[in-house]
Amino acid sequence: MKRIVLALVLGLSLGGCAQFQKFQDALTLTTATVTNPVTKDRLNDLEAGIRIVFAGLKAYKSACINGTADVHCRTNIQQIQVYTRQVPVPLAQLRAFVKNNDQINATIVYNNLVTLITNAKQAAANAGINLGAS
Amino acid sequence: MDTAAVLALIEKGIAIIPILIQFGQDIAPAIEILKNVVTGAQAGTITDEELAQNEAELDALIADFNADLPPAS
Repeated sequence: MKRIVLALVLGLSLGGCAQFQKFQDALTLTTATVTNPVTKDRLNDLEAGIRIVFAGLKAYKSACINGTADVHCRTNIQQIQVYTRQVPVPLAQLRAFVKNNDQINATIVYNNLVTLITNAKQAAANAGINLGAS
Repeated sequence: MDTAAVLALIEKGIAIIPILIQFGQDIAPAIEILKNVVTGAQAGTITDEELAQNEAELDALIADFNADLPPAS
């Protein structure tokens, strides 16, 4: 609980690059293994994590459309979309594999999806997305 | 639901809220996600209906972000 409170306090008190670091942290996902199967609960956890990430991305995009984000936001968003547009297919595959309890394929696709999201995160970092005034 | 996973999700959710506020966005959807995570954790294993609902919301969010930007004004 202390950790959560600390994260909240830090999140509210730090600006600029710290915001972007938190954004990157939010994109961090763990990998699946045979001994760590992808259950429906785990799938839901992953999807909740992705929802949080996309909530941040949506905020950035909305700010960009409204003209309140940085001047490079349109290019940045397009670069991130290269990866995020690949997400729906493996996500649909993962859902099907989990619901059919095909753990071998579920684990493969789960880890591919995590890699994809990690690449999106890297694209954001390479583009120097300025979610604050860094 | 794994307690550590729930706490990690809550922490991520809290981390994203200042970003939403910074860009003047509604934080209600993020709060709702966290609420669902906590509610799901309290209830135990997620039901197929809850999973389907969460997935529909995620799909809408992804589609929203992936849509082309409107022409610059």
